[in-house]
Amino acid sequence: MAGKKSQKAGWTRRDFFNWTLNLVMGVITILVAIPAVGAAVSPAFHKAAPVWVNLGAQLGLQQSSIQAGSGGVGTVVKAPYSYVEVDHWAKFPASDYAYLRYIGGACAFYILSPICTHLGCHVNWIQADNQFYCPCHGSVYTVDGLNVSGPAPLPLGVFRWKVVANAVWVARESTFTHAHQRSAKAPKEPCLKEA
Amino acid sequence: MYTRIVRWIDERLMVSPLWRDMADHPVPAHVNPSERVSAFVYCFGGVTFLLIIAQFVTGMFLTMYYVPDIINSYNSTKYLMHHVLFGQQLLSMHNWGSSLIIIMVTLHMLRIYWMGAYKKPRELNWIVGVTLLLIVLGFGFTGYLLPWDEKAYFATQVGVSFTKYVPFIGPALLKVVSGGSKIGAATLTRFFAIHVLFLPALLIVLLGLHFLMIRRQGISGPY
Ligand code: HEM
Ligand code: FES
Repeated sequence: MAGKKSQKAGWTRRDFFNWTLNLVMGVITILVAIPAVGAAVSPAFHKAAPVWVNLGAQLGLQQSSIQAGSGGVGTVVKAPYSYVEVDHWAKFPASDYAYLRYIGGACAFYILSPICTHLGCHVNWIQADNQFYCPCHGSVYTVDGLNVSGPAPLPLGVFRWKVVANAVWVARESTFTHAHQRSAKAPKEPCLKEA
Repeated sequence: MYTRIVRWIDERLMVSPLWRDMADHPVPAHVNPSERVSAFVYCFGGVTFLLIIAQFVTGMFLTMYYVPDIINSYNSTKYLMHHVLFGQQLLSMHNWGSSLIIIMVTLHMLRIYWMGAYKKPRELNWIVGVTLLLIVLGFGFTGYLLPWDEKAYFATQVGVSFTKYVPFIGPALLKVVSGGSKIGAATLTRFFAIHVLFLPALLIVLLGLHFLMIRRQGISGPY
């Protein structure tokens, strides 16, 4: 080894091997790190798609809302649905309900989420008072789902919905209320009907 | 910057001599492939170690998605392969890595055998080495069941069935190894625990012993 050293460049044989070793180890580290870190941060690249669930036949829902109301004007009825909850790799049957009201006109239905915007309890519809009451901490909402009393900070969520083959489908979203979340100053009765 | 950090730590803990002792440890000419190309056979143990480190890393990240449960293990593996960024690559690296380790550890053992490096004073390191080999094979066997697909299930059924030929305790041993009287939920959790906790702990301890003995005795040869 003696005499082989190139003094001018200031590089010894030892330096060369040292750097080659570092380079090779660096490349290996990167090759392992890419899929490892990629898999770990993968959730950041996932967009949550809404799950469309079937509430039942359009005509039946319309009639039950009108029958529950008075004078041909529909009122709030519970519209139960069941669906397959897909949680990443886990799939299991689940069920919930929406509050549906037939409002006539171009936007036939007004469909509210039952999830209280305070801490997520299911609110109860009380026909006699024309209001929703939350059993947990007493929040009160109007028939349009606007929060009027109690700790609830926002109105009830409104479902986007559409008609497919004479059935009403609503979009269950991954938001807190599973529906479109209105801000406090949003319009009273948005029409979220989709084609 | 780097030197300043090192100096700051050394002022307090004086660790760089420990590192230098490892990094500057002279490699005899007969073990150095840059002196004599055929010395590459001395790298097999080191390559095995490198692969083991990669296996630890990929395995740790796989555990972020894998569920050791008969309903979800297959589905979570499928989810990892199809919906996770680089998930397929991550799983493949772990899968191929396991085979590479077994190949490299075998080559390493053959090197020891052919050179007679197991002879006095290195008998104890040969024994530790054989234990390491069994641990590596144990990783392979327990890991194979984890995706809970058809191949995994029946390969494990065949694998564990050998234990029933052990004299006297065979049938009882079979039940202990499979966690019950058939391959099922308890087999999977058992194999998972062995694969990700018991074997790694054992492996680390025995590798520590292996390397300590090599440092203590020096590498064998030249022949
Ligand atoms: C988990 C797998 C193993 C790893 C990571 C490993 C690692 C190493 C390393 C890095 C060396 C230094 C010399 C060389 O690389 O050839 C070595 C030496 C040695 N290994 Fe292993 N080894 C493993 C398994 C085994 C097995 C299965 C045996 C034999 C049954 C064994 C027996 C030995 C012996 C006797 C030496 C000393 C060789 C000498 O002084 O020339 N090792 N091992
Ligand atoms: S959850 Fe409804 S008021 Fe608290």
